[in-house]
Amino acid sequence: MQIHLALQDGFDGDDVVLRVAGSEAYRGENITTRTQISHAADMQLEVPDHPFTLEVDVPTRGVRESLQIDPHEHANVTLSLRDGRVVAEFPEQIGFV
Amino acid sequence: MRRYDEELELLDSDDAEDEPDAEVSSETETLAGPIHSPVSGLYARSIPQKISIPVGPAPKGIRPIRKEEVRFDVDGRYPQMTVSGTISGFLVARIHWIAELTKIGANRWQGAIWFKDGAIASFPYTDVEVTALGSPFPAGRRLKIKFTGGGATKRTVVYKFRSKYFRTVNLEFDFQQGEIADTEINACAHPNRPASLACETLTIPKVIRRAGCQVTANAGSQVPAPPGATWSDMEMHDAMQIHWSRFANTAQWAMWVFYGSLHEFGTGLGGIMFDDIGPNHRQGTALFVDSFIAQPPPGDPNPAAWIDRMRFWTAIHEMGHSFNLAHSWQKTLGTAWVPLADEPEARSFMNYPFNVVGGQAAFFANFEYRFSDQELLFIRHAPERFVQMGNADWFDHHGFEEAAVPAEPTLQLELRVNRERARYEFMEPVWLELKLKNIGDQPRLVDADALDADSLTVILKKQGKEARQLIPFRQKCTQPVTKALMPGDAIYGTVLASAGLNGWDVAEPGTYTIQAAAHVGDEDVVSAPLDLKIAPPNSRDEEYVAGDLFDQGPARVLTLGGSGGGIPFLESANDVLQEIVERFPERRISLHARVALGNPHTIDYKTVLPTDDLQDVEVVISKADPDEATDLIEPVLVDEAQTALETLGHIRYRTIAERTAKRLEAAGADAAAAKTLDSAIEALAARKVDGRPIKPEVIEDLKETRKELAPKSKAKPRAKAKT
Repeated sequence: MQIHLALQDGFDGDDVVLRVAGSEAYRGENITTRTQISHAADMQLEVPDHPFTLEVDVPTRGVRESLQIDPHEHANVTLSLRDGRVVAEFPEQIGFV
Repeated sequence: MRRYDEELELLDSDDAEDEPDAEVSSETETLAGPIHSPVSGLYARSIPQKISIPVGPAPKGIRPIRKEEVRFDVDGRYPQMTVSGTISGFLVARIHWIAELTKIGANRWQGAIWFKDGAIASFPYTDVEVTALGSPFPAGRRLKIKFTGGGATKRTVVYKFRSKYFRTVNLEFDFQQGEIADTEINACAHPNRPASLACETLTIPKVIRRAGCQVTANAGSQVPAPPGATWSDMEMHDAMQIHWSRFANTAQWAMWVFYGSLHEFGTGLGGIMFDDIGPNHRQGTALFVDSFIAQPPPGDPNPAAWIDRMRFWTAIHEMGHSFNLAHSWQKTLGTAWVPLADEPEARSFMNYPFNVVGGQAAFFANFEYRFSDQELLFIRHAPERFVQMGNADWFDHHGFEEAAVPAEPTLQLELRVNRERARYEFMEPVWLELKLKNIGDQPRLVDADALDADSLTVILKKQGKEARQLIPFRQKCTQPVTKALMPGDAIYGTVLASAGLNGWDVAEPGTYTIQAAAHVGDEDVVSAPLDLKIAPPNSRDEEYVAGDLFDQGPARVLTLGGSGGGIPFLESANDVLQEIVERFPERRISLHARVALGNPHTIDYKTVLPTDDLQDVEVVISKADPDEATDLIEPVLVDEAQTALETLGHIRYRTIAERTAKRLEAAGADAAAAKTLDSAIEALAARKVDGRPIKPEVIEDLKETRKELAPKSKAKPRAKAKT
């Protein structure tokens, strides 16, 4: 199954690696937020049909965090960098304005 | 008692409270009746006198007050219990303050000033006490503010009511061919709404007015696009420049709102303030009517109303970005104007409905079609440059924000350099030409000296550096002569932009933007910005000499048309210019140097010098030396006439040629005089810039001057000048 994941605020020329259940699912370079739409990148991620670990690695910031995601509860995931940490949110919908 | 001098000194005491002047007293007595609510709005005090003293970086620290505005915000819709003020010096010196208010009486408020910006050293006050002087008629309303604290003498000012709005903004809604710009909704069309929400037709202008801004709107127009077209940011920026009737590369209280079908991003982008392109950001926004904002959730009780509401919300959300508002959850990111709090649950136009707890249904159940309080505080009270569309990083802290530009100007100021491309050699002085034209259909009275350097305000900005105001060397003190400028007529002037009392502000290699304002009565006539580049030096030798050139002495000699010497620092300036003539004859600076060095030789030059015993002064006269003058100037005006026209500028070339010819003739050098004028006539007749020739009457005038020279002044061939 898939979830919609968006990298939102706080990215500024960063490299971002996402691993789903240990496997690399996304790698982005020079990721930068357009602040007026709070968008840096977004993607549909193929994920297991059960709760899994999402590893977020931002080597350009020395940030690495793991999140537990239940795709049946959280079909939409947003990740932002704030104060040197990854902040995940699970909105009802992902769209940008 | 020392009376408050509103023209010159902000810090002088104003004892209006204790011993008011007649005008203030009479108004206070007349108007101190019962308060008539609402009293919020814009109040102002205008000082209409012409100000000819330069301000800003001027050395004397004089900051004439030109205008004071106060935004009083204690009642009406969404009161912020705030008063803020802007005190404008002329164009650059500016103070902005904000105070939070508490009501202390029927029509009195007091509070502490918690924000200051600008020339705050001139504004030490820490507290305000505000008295609203009511009137049943808006025009009769007054606001009296007493400023205290900070160790300064109390200052009391009475302001007149101007508007119930704090700002005025112009909106234009254009739309992609096949779409419509729907700017209104029925607030109660969707059943999920606050129970208290008034059922009314809400329009975008109404929402913006409730935020505190008077709205003027232009008729929208259609933007052609093939079916199925999507839009990139750059395409929309191009469309904005073509289709927006108010587009200008300048900060203005105006924005363009574009209704398109889809962005090239896809359906996931509902709208965007796309205008982070070029020097003037936040002028253009767009919403995409066929994006996800037109996809109601399954089972919604009124899908059509849901879509209308999302489009309406999106349009105003994007306009909020044009006002420089961030998303509700982003307030602490980036550089905020004051410390802000994130508002992730705010029912504001700047929040995402689907991000709050409970999602969009929870959001709209409590959404009252408004901005949050801290957003309203920003829109209404933040310094203008933070909020105004297009007022981004260009001319930060400077510029013509306070220019008194009429809505429909009848005067136009053109700033030009009379060359195909505004590129200058290293060390080449930048002489600007100005043209002030009556573009109206009625005669206008202007000061004949309106384009003199000391009458103008000229702002110089090197890319990446702060803007500076040109402070010219010469400050005249004369009775202004008024001139009637008939429709279509113009007056002309020249200004040396390179250097002034501030030093050489336009000299180092790089890109510069220059803007000028002429002042006609109370009106400021502001030119379009002019961009120019200065090339790097050709050699280390040039760099070395430039160190001597970029000094006060050479700048004065170049500006004032030469020095006969005698005064040590001007003699050394002449030495620098002489060295340039000898070492860099192929460079354009040498033409300027020749004129400055040769000019004093055209007349009997008087120098006032101290006597040897330093007890007195004496006037030393150096006799005119037409041969020396000709040796220096003829290579410029004759041999290199076309280059001289470009680097001196048309107006200066003609002025120098005419002056030199007359002086040479007076000194007996008839042939040289004739040759100078003949060459000037020929050069000007051949001159074209961008395909445009010199005005024929200029050449005819010179021919008349040529005829006035004695018939014996027949040009004779002359040997090439010595260098």
